[in-house]
Amino acid sequence: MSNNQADGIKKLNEEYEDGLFRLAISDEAEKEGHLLTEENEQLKNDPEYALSQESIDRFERILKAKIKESKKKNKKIHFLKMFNKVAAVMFAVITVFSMTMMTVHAFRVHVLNFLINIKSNYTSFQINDDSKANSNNQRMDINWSNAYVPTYIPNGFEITGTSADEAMKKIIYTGIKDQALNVIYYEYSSSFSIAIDTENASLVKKIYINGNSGTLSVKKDIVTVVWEMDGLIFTVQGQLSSEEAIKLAESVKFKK
Amino acid sequence: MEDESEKKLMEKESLETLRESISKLAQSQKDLLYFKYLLDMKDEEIAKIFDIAPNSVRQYLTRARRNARKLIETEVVYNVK
Repeated sequence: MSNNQADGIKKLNEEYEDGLFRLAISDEAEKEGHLLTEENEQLKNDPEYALSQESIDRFERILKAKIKESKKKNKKIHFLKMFNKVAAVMFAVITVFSMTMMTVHAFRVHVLNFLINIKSNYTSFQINDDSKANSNNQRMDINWSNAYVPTYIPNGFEITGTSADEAMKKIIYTGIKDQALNVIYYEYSSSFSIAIDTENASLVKKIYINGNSGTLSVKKDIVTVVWEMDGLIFTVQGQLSSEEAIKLAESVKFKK
Repeated sequence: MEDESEKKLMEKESLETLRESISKLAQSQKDLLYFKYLLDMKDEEIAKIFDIAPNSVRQYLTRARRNARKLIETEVVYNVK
C-alpha cells in the first residue's frame, strides 16, 4: 500500500469519525433538549419554583431599563451621525462661500453691497428715530436769543440737529424724502479762520448777502456760501441749489 | 435484504453507544464537541471561549473523541465480563 493510499484511508476514517460524532452529538443534543423541556415543565408546575410577582416586577424593571438604555444609545448615535452630517455640510458651505468670496469678484461685490446696505439701513433707522421725534411730533425750534438765526428752511429739508456754544453755532438740515441730503449752517466767532476747498470747483463767485460780501462756490454737488457779518463768519454748505443756499443765507436775522 | 437491515441496526446501535459515551464525558469536553459539531463554530471562536490557542483546538477535539471511544471500549469490556 502506497503512502498516498494510506493517507487517503486515514483522511476518510477521520471524515467518517467526524460525521459519526456529528450525528451522535445531534442525537445527544436532542435528548438533552427533551430532558430540559421536561424539567422545565416540571418546574413550571412546581409552585416552589414559580416566579414571585416581585421577581417578575424586578425583571420587567430591568428589561425596561435595558430597553431605555439601548434607545438612548441609539439616539446618541443618531444625533452624532446627524451632527457629523450637519458639520460636513456647514464646512462645505463655508468653504465654498470663502472660496467664492476670494475668487469671484462679482460675488464679493454683491456680498459686500448687501452688508453695506444692512449697515446703511441700520444707520438710517437710527436717524429716523431721532428725526421722526423732531419733525412729526415736536418740530425742532431754535431757541437762540441775542444771536443770528436763519429764518428760512430750504425747500424739502427739515432741521434735525442744532448745537451752540460761544465759539460756534450749528444747524443741521436733512432732506425730508432723501435723508442722505444734508445742509449745515455754521456761525463762527471772529477767532475762526475758514478755508473752503475750491480746487476744481465748477463755480467760485463773489456775492453779497444782505450787503455783506461773501463767496459762493459749487464743487460737484456741494454748494457753499461763506460770508462775513458783524465780525462773525457764516457758512451754509450742503447738497442744495445755489439759489436755496443764498436764500437761506439771506434769511439769517439777528434774534433778540 | 436481511443483511442490509442488520447493518442498519448495527449502525444505529453504534451511534447510540457513541451518544451515550458522549453524555458521560466531562462537561468541558462535551461543550467542545457541541461547539464543533452542532454549532459548527470556527476553531478561533472555540479557542476564545476556552481561552486556548486556536492551534490547540484540534488537539483538544482529538482528546475528547479519544475519551469517548475509551468509554465505549470500557463499557464493551464491562459487558463482555
